[in-house]
Amino acid sequence: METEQKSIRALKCEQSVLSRADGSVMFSQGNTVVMASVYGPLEAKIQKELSDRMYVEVNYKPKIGMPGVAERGKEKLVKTTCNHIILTNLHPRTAVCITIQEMQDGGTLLSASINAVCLALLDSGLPLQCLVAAVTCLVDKKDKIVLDPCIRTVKEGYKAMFTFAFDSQKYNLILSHCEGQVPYTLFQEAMELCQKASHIIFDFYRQAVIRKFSKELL
Amino acid sequence: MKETPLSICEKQCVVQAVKEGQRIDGRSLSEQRKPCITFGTEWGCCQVLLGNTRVMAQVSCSIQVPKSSRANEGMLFINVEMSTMAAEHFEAGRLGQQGIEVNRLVERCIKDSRCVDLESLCILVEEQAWEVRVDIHVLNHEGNLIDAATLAALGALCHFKRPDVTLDGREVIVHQLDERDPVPLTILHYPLTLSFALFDQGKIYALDPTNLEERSADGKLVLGLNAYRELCTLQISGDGVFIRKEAVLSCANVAASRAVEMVEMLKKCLAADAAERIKGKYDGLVSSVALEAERVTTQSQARTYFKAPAHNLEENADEESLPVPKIKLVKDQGIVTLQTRSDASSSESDTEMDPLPPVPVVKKRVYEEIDIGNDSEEESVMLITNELT
Repeated sequence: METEQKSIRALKCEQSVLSRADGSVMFSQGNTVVMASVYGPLEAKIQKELSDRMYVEVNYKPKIGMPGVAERGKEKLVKTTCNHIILTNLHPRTAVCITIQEMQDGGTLLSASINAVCLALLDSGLPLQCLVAAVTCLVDKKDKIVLDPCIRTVKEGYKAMFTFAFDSQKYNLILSHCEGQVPYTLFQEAMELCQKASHIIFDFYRQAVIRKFSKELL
Repeated sequence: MKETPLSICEKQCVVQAVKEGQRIDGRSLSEQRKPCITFGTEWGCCQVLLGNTRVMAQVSCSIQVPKSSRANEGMLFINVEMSTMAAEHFEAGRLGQQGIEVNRLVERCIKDSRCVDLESLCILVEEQAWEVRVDIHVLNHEGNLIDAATLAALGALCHFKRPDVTLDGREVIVHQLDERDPVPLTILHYPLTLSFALFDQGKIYALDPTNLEERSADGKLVLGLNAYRELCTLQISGDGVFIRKEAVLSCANVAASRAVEMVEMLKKCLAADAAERIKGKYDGLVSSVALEAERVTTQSQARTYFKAPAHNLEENADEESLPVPKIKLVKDQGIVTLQTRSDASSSESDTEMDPLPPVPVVKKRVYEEIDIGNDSEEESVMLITNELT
């Protein structure tokens, strides 16, 4: 159905969920649940210390088994996104340690991780240049674009899967991760659709922060 | 990053309080924090909250060649993962001394007590058997990781279901999850650990210590017990601790009654989870997101929230009784001006004062109450159509 394919699943988050981390969030997008924590600025190890900016370290932890190559790939993508949005020049010779824990896999783990990291950074109070929203969409075997697919759709097979991340100021593209093969027009259409969807995620961030600061002391 | 050192006054405060029978969070010396157990959509996923300590366990299985020494048994492998998420001094990937201790104690309690029937995991003797793997992730360290990890591991093992297998002669057919219902593991008994922090050279013991209490304590006593009050594990550690045998027995009594209660609670949570799944729309850990309203009322660290007062311009104009503020907001045809009051005279004298440049109307902002309803799906699913340009 047309409307089903072009909607993103329900978003839910709980901020400051961990008592020790500087910033933490438990974020769910449909059935995908991800927990992200931010510690920073921390003392950096001497090998990793950078003289003019903060070193961003990302750890992605899968639920089953030891982290492998796929996890390192996700870490690298999240790290480049974070380097763009965090104002690293304000804290030279320090490090920020971001950890992402997969809690429940309902498809689209990469975009859920990026969204969770953004909320955790908001919760931690680190200075950010802008926010980031990531959306995944896939092109199924019948050339239809499905936005924010659930794990059943992903398992049925697809021609291509895209994850795009946009910034909150001009909705420019920060990150684009693609697998598969499709004609350029479909890619363009998918990117525009994801850009529209990112507005919803930015709205959700705003709502989440308003709710966080408007609870009564019980 | 190194752990922040424990200050002397913090340690003295905890030790002094415990000597008087009091604890920082208001519990008694033999009171445990109330555990909160939730399960995920995948079979074998269990999250445990012990106060603020948060641990998640996931069970998975694969077919391997059984060990030659035990050719008719399956295998159980327990792995504890501690990352920087739990505490800033934990290193990702590498278990420090504390991590190794937690790993070993969970293994001793669950594996060495043989609570999982490994013989039922054998498929073909000497050729194929199930290897069950438990990955325990420590998410937040606020004391007593051992108890939380064991509870999570046990909950995950009880929750887990493996694919059904049929033997056709010597051929093994593993059925998919939608072909045939998966089969639960055979759990023979339910062992759990209960930790005590020992103070005053072993004379005083506190059940379920928080992080601060653990660090201030002289030593630790860990007991592994099951629902039949049978002892599975015992470990005493700490230097300068001389614990007497009567103290160990009384600890064991306290722990045994607590273990029985915890196993009851675990079984209830498992039954509730099974009932939820039958209902149909099951979202697993999503329902544990934003459990906040329940947790703020516990005795563990209450987070401070504030509610911004509702901005109401009509109210400000009516407040004549305040002697101090001489500036009042006057709302006049939608334009708010700041006006200084020279005498006690009313606002008709505003013509002698130059009004400050008009400030645009502040819209009335009322922060809404949080409702913990389950209609989040209705408000957050947004439909994008082509008209959204």
